[in-house]
Amino acid sequence: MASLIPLLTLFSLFGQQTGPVDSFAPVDVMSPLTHILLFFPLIAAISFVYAASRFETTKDVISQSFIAIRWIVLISGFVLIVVIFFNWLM
Amino acid sequence: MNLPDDKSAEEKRDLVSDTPQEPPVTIDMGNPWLAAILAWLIPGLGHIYQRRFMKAAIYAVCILGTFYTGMALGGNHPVYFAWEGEDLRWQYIPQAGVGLPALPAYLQHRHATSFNGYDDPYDRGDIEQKWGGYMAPPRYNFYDQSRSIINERHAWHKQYHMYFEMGTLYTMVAGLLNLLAVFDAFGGPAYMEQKRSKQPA
Repeated sequence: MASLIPLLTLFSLFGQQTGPVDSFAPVDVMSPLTHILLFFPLIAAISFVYAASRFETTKDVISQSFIAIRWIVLISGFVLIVVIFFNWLM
Repeated sequence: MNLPDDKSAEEKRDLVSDTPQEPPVTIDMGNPWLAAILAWLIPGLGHIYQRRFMKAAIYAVCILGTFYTGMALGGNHPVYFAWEGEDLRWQYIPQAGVGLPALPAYLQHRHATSFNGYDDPYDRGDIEQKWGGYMAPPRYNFYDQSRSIINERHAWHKQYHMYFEMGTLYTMVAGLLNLLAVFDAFGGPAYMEQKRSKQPA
């Protein structure tokens, strides 16, 4: 269960759309850079809370959260590259 | 490593340290059910009850920070509860995981549906909202300042667009993360529990 939540949130980072289709604003409301930058505090918060739920001492929590951040950024980056590649391909 | 034979939750528990060189960490779990409820109500409160102040600070800053950042991104609108018409706001279910900070949304929904004759959400255009509309469900057929009829939900999406989506995501993630804090308050750190179960009896 504890491992599932960060995974679910990671998948939810991509392509969520809750709004009604007829109310789309122009796509330049948020630039891709802003979009990516806004994910970093979210990734950091996920990593810190995930590490805190698995370890007790502050030293372990901080070291493990940086390991978690590294993995999440690596996996997210890989997925982003794949998505960008397929977008370019089409 | 001496492990407690009695696993009663009321007493102090010696959990195995993450590294073998370090002494075991002692956690006073108190009443785990009370700690879990407190942790759900306000992120970090259950850990303050257990005197785990550093973890309480981490949970409070990360979870509440994520939640209110999400609220700010969407103009205080990403958290609301509605379950009628075309607006089945399932996102409120994970958002409610953050506890009391998400409660006003439920109270606002009860307020909006408490009027006689307002069962249909499309007839709620002239309802006066409490608390300045904080976490209130969107009004349909709502007359804006220019006296034109608008759908508030569509207006929010037009105004904030991806910021509304990001705000919704932030608040949902905050609620899900608080579940980890609740589990931690109830049963202790997951990794240490796993290691303890592998120790010889």
